[in-house]
Amino acid sequence: MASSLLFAGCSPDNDAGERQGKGDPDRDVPILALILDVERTSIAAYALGISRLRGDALDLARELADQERQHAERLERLIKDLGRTPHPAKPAEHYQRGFPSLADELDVLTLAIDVENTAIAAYLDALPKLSTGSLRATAAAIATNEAQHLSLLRDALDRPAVPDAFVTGEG
Amino acid sequence: MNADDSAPRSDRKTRRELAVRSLTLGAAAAGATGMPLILPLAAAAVESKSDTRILTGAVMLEHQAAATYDAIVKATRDARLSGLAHAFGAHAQEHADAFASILLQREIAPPPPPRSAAIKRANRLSDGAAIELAISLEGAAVRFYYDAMRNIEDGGLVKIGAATMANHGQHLALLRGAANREPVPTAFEAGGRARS
Repeated sequence: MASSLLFAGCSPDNDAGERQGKGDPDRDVPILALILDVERTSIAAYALGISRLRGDALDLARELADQERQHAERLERLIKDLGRTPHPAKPAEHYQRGFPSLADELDVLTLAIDVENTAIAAYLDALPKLSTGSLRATAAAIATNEAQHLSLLRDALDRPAVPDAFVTGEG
Repeated sequence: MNADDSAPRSDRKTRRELAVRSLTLGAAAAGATGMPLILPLAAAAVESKSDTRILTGAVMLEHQAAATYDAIVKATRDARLSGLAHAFGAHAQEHADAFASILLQREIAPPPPPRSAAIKRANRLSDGAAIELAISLEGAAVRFYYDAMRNIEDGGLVKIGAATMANHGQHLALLRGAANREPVPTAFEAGGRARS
């Protein structure tokens, strides 16, 4: 199912040709800002959930949250490199508004899986729209890292860690 | 290796050398087992500006991965390693079939899978060698798609390539874990050489 959805968008007319340079600010900054918002949501999810975790799950969440912060910092830098100023992060409560209540480890890891899937889908949606090969490569490297997070989180819940050959964030 | 693409000077020659080096490392590991040395051909393909050549390289790479995992399944008695290799080999075959199908839609014959005689020679791997081989090949696969992101023209292929790269990244993380290494040592997974 996932692969058929991917192939539906596969035609030689799509515009994703490589352009040299840092990118096109008018085209790329709104896309980068959108995925920066997704990263900030992930950071807020881990911040909210960490207090409910112990042991291995806590260690894992801390590590993944740190990598989410690195993604956000990189995206902010890319926006600055394009000559624009990234919007400042909103208070954590803003991003946490839509989250379910978290009673235990299962709730936290399930939320983390949801936010990782959302991030992967956002990156896959953004990738063909970015104007340079360099930006696409960076976005793909982050999406791949999010997919790795997803596997570790699924494994922590004793679910199949890699259930699909194509990782689309729709799982 | 971090995907530090915002560095002001990105040198295409250096990137090409890195791509060839990472895929050659995978090829060297494969060659030690008697596997066909096709990964350098995939490295050349990914640096081309032709979607068709990149697709062809992807099919070759995925065939190589599927054959490698098939050999590991036959070689190992470790149930966990066998389970990982079985699942990852099936994924690689799905990738190969998908990219071959796109080539056929474009009326281009996809490359054939490697000959089984070469694969049979890989059946004497120790479990440790098998995991290292798989880590090298998965790192090379991630790097292939990472480099492909720069050169693919078709937006649909960009998306499929990224979904495939993400899957190889997941394989890589679990294999590193199986080798008692840090599963996700970097926030920017660009593949290449296996890291400890």
